Amino acid sequence: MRLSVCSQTPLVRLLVNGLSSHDFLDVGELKEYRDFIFSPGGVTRMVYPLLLHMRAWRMVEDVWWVSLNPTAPPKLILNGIKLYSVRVDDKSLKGYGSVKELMWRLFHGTADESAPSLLELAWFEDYAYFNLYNRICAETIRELDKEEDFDLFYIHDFQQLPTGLMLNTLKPKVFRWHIPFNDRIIPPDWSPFLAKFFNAYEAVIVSCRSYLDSLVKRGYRGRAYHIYPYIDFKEYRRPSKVEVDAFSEKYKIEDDDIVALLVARLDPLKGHDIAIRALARAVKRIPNLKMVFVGNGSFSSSAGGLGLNKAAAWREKLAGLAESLGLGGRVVFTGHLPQGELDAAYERCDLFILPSRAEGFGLVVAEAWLYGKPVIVSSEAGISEIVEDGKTGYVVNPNNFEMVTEALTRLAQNEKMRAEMGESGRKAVEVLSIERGMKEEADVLKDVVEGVP
Amino acid sequence: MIILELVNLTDVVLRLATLAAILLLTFVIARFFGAILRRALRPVPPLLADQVVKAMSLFIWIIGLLLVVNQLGLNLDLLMVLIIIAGIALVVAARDVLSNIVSKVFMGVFVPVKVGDYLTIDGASGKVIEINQLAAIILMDDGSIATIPNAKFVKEVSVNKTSIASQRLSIPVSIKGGVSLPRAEAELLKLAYKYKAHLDQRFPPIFTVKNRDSNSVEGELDLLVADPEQRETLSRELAVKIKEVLDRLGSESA
Repeated sequence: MRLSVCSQTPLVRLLVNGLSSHDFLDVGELKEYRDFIFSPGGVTRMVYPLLLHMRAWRMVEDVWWVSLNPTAPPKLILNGIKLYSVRVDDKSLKGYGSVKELMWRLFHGTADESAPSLLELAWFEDYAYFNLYNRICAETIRELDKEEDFDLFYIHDFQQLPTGLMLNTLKPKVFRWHIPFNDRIIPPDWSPFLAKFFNAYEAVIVSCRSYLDSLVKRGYRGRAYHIYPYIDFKEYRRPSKVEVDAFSEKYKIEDDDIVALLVARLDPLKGHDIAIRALARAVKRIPNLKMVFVGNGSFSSSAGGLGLNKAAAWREKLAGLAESLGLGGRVVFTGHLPQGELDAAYERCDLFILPSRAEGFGLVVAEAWLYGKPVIVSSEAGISEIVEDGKTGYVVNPNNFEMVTEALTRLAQNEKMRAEMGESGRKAVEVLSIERGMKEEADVLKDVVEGVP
Repeated sequence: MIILELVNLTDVVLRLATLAAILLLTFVIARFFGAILRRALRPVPPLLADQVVKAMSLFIWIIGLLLVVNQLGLNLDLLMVLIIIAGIALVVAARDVLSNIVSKVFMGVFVPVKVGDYLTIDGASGKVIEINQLAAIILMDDGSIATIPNAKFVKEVSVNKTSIASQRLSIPVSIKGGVSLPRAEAELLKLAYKYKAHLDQRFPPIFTVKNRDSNSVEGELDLLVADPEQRETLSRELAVKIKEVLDRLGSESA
């Protein structure tokens, strides 16, 4: 199978300018963290391993991955996967960025009341640039297809939804929707607009069963699948005591501190403020409770990506909130951590919290389970669908501080409960293994290519 | 005497060379126009395109042969009459095919019918699943297929039962090669946004590519007018504005 993948987020972001090559720039010859980094999130954790495994299983012979990478050379290669960088002029990029940002909030149900609806947004001048970005991607893929004759187009996430229709081909197209798709949030009058784009795809994959129902309710008539996101357990190793101690020392964590960990990009949607407010109440009963926030901006929200630097502003606001609640020193911001230090953070923490106001899935919960940690998960996160409340973690309403505080306090106070829940979580995480996820995903792609009814 | 014979011989050779040149030129022109016409007829079914190219090639060869006959000093009048009669006969024979092809041009803009619509025409009711150069294919309620020649849509009453058919406006757009498609599309959408007050805002404008080759991209700007009575006025005004936008982009890219 010859496969074309398209996502807004590129697999890698170069840290140095001026790298070029007359043909493909081999990223494998560069040094991670000095010359490049992998983009955080699902692209690196899910799509990349899927493609590597599909190549290893000889399911695909060639992969071209088209994504927005304004500062990278046009063509890169990494472990046999060809990466094509799409460039967009600054004005169009700015317009695209503002529309997709608002769209993201609309689909998460977190836009201000004064914000336009999706249908109103599609009349904004900037929407023409959102459209332009998708057209450039579609045209790029079409040109590549002339040379490569792909068997399947695999398009990822809401920013790229129009790309399938614009490809204007009957060759198989599969779309993976990574963020929430909830008919409680998406009103029926958006259906004709969304369905026009969705129905250009032969198959659509969403992350949860509930999103699947919503997709059909909003007019999708093709094959709809739900496949839980997945992680490669082998990527997470148990750090040595020396590494954990080094991490604790670096972030001033004492041996007797009880650490609640939150791993998420710095974005109001992730509910860091909810965690801080819950911490402020819980420390009255548990004085040695600390909160560690790991994460920085996403590709869009960081200064090095699309330049929408909301992460820094949010961090400043959170630091101010912690200070005003008398939590100075109890809230630690680590920023983005390399894998080794992230392993140490998971190992050191006593419990994990994800109080997101909305969350496509929440794979970080699976990571915490891998380290045998109990979790407190927002009911708005897709992964809450597989959390057994009271057994593998607590499911909480992020808008209910009492509930979040109660869960945090109960877990922080009870070491035995933490150990039992953590152990249950370690078993629960099996359903999110990369082997299972990739098999399901590869089966869908194969069925679509072969036209299996 | 010898000089006279030489003169005659030169004359004959010259005439033969002229005839050969005319035939060669005819061959070149027929091939050249054949290639151009074949490219222009890409959207047309291949069999039909072949027939049109063959007819044009025949026409050019006839003109070439007439010139040859003229060079030989023969009377052309009778031959011309025969050719004109044959031409008229050909047009009369192909009139149905031609009327269907011409009608296709008007469908969508002047006759509001599109693939996916549910309509009744000429005793057939069902969903339109295809509109090609010659006919609209209708999937009837009992699963059978009705083929309605395009000319019927111009000549006869059709009832389109699709709720938004009266509002729908599809404006054909041709973007010349050399003009960036993403840029042109963005400019067309921005143009449509200016008419927001006259459009149904539940359905934002959308541009769809229908055909393309190395010379141009053919597409449609699909809109829904708020008031069906303004459909034609809006169509005319937007067509003019679209031309202005595309001309500007064309001159910028030149």
